[in-house]
Formats: sequence, C-alpha cells, structure tokens
Amino acid sequence: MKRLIIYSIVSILSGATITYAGEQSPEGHLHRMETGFNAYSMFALFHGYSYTLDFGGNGSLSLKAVIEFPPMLWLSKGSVTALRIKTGAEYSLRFPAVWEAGIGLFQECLFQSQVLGNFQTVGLDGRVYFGAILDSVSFGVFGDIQSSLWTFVQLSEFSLDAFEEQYTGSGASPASGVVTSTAFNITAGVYGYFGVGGNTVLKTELGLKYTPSEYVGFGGGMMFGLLPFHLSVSISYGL
Amino acid sequence: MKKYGGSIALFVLLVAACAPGQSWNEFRLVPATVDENPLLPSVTIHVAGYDRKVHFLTFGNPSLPPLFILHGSLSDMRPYLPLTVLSNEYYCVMWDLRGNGLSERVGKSELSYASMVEEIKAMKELFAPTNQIAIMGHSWSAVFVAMYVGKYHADVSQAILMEPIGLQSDPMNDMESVLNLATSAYLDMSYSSDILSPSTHELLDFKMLAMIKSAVRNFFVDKNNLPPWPVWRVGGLALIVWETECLSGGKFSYDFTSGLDTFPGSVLLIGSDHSPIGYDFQLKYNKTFFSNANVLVIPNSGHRIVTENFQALYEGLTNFLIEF
Repeated sequence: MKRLIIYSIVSILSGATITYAGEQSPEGHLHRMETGFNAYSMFALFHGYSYTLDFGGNGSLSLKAVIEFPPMLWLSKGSVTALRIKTGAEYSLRFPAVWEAGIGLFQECLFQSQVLGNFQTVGLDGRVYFGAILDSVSFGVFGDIQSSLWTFVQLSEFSLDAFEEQYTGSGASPASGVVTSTAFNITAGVYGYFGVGGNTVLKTELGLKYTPSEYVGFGGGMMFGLLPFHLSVSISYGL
Repeated sequence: MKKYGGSIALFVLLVAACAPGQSWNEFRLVPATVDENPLLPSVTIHVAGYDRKVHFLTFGNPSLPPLFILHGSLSDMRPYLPLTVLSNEYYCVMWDLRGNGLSERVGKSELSYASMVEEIKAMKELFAPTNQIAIMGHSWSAVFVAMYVGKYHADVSQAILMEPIGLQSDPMNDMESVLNLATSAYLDMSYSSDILSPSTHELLDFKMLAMIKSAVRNFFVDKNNLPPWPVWRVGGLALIVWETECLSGGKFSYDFTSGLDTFPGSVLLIGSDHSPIGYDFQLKYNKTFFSNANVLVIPNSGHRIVTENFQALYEGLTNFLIEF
C-alpha cells in the first residue's frame, strides 16, 4: 500500500509537471487533454495529456502522458489496487490528399495488488496507425504491441502457500523477485475520431486483442481473464 | 565506441528481457516440477508416445489392497492428502497427473482423455501389476476413472467417482451455467493480462492459480467465503485441454460411458448438496450408466468435498470400501 501511495503521488506530480510545461510553451504547440475508458481493461478510466510539436510541413510529434486506473477493481476490493502510467511520443505524418499515418513508442509502469501478490511492471507499448481525415472525421486502422519487460513480484501468502509442505524442503523460493517478459499482447482494430464542436473530439477504438501463446488459442483464455477484445472511448479536448 | 555504450547497454537489457518468465535470482512464481527438482519423488511412465516423470506418494503397507486416488483439474494431490487416513486398510497411491502439480509438463496432444486413461493404466502396471485396485477420482479425474473402468473392467474392484460432470453431454447442455465475471478475483485476472500472459507453463500455471479464488462458477456453499484448496501447482494447460476437448461448435459433445453398463464391480458416486453437479445431478444422470452404483450425498458441501466436509466423505468412503 505504501508503494502504491508513493507511485500515485509520483504519477500525479509528473502529470502536473508536464501540464505546466505545456502551458508555458510557445505559440503553435497544441495542448490536449483526453479522458475516457477502456471497456475490456475492466472499465479502466484513463486521463492523458498530449503536447504536440508541429514541425511545419507534414510531420508532428506528440508527447503524451496517460494515467489509468480501474475503479471497478478498486470498488470490488475496497481499496486502490491497480494503476498504470504511460508516457511516450507519437510521430504523425500527413500525406497528400486525406491520408495520415503515425508511429508511437511508450513506456508504461503498471502496478497491481491482487490475490497472487503485488506486481510492479515496466513495459513498452508500440503503436502504428494509418487512416484518412475527412473534415471533422478521421478513421483508420491501428496496431498495438504491448510487452512487459521486467516485473517485480511480491508473492501473496496465498501464492507462497504453494511452496509449503513440500516434504523434501527443497521447494522454497524467495518471497519476491524480478521476472522478465511476463506479458506480451497484440491489439489490432479500427479507430474513428469525430469532431463534436469546438476543440473537442470523440475518439473510439474497437479491436481484437491477441495474446500469443502456444497453450491458449485466440479467445481461449477467457476462463482466466484473457479477454480478446478492445474497446476504448474517450473525449479529447484542446486547451 | 564509448559514445554508443549507453545504447549498447540498453540493447543488451532489452534482449535479456525478451526471454519470457526468467527470474533474476532463485525466485520462482510456482514450485519446480520433478524434472526440475530431482529431490522430489518421481517415477517415469510411458504415455502417448513419451516417457514422462510424475510426482507420486504412497501411504500404507504395499501388501494391502491398492487404492488409487486421483486429483481433479486445477489441482494436484495436495488437498487429498488427508485421505491417507485410509492407508490403515489400503496401500494408497497418489500422484500428480502429467501436466499437473509437480509432475512434468507436457504438450496438448499428451493430455487427451485417452492419454489420461493410459496414464492410469501405466501407474497400475507400476504399483499394482497383479492386483485389482480400488480407484477414486474427483471432478475431471472422476471422468477419467469412469473411462478407465469402462475399458479395463478386470483391473478394478471398486470405483469412487466424486462429482464427475455428466458422463454424456446431453445433461450438461441442458444445465444452466451462469458465469460470474464480476468476482473480485476474476477482475484481478482480467486486469492483469498486461502483466501476466501465458507464454510459459510457469506463467500459465501461476496466472491460473488465481482461479482457485475466483468463484466464476458457483460450486460452493458460500461463494463469498470459499473453502480452502491448498495446492502446490495447478496444471493450466491440462484444464484448458480438458475443457475444450469436450466441446464442439460451442456445445458439449461427448460420451464417456463406453463399457460402463457391463462393469461388474461396485461404484460409489458422490455428490454434494451445493454443487450443480452434486447429489441430485449424479442420481438423475450418472447413476443410470452403471449396473451397480449408489449415490452418496455430502451435506453442507460444494464441489470441494475433501476440504468442505471431510468427515462425511470419510464416513461414506469407509462404509463403501470393502476393506473397512
């Protein structure tokens, strides 16, 4: 719990710092806030900030920071048990006519306290998209690869119990440690962004999420929580 | 070269991170299996074309009549160890099925229902090659025991089936199956999909350990206060294979009853009073496939009979087993 509080304070402070830096930026840079939810990440709410550097011509670079938390999980536990912070950059390119494309790379920190233990993960999230812009609407396809690089695990009493009563006494394990590459997920789908007046855009994404595994086929892990869907809805508004 | 040092170090770290499920010290998410830990007792059996090591324990005098005790899915033999009280009259043989518990992990093709029956046969050849055995299975293993009994009549004197699913698929398709995906443990499992994904057996088994606490299927007296189910290590892939092999087009489609009607030995079906495949279900459906079967009800219990009402189970078993 102590780690989570520190984690939350750091994330809020880092978000505030980025926002402040954005407000001090010169003319021509675009600051946007975004708030929404990921339906298949346990209705996780996220709130983000992006700061776009327009290089002139066709390219632009957006620096982004997002904080995500699952209130449903918090409510079911009665405490703050999970959090994700994501920061990174996305480069967008406009092509002749209506086409646009982009590529992004983000680092993410995830925290979760659950029945198996406490998890603190550092990972990477890569994203590409390609689409079209028509007046106040843009739409296209996207692909996303998420990978955890290192996860610090503190086993719960429940998990540690699995090492008990091994009559040979040889099965012991430290109660905590770092494990590499504990997760890898690929998401692909379509997006549609709709201008809804002023500086506000309604953003929707719909897709399928695939967890490569020789043991579990697509959709075969639902019994233990691997939901093969992605749905995200958010409102993005310019500052 | 020096100016690229940071980049090279970063690259090396990223490459090191690509190997899934490696720990940086002796830390483990789940206990080692017999092929990884030679201090654990094991025997090698040849099943489905492969030699595999299985983790086993025996209790009682080997000269006593043999009683084989098989654990259910998402488990190993550990919760069943209290049944060793039967070893004053029986030579109790317990083991973790291949791909489960501390036994060696195997591929999907080795976990077919037919392979599980052959596994029982291989263990009998090792531990009771000349004797008839009494045999008990719980949940999925009760199904495997039924299939074994149907195929090898002469091997078995008495069979005990603790809450198998329907031995034919029709009643399972008719049964109302409500999954509660809003339980705290299921939400945990779902949210953790970006932290834990099943790329290795260790990660799969660890992730699926949480299912013991999930109560997604309500097989319990009190779904908010689940009975304990102490395991060393669940067999994630085994459960996936067993739960998908019986499906066709999204419906149950199977028949495990071959040879059961002519089995001459006695059969005890056990059902709890709080499980959808409990006493009423066993009486209405599974009893009809045997010529000599009785059904025992375990009161105040759900599917985890061994830990929920051990005393009633013990009394029922000692009333049924001929050596008591």
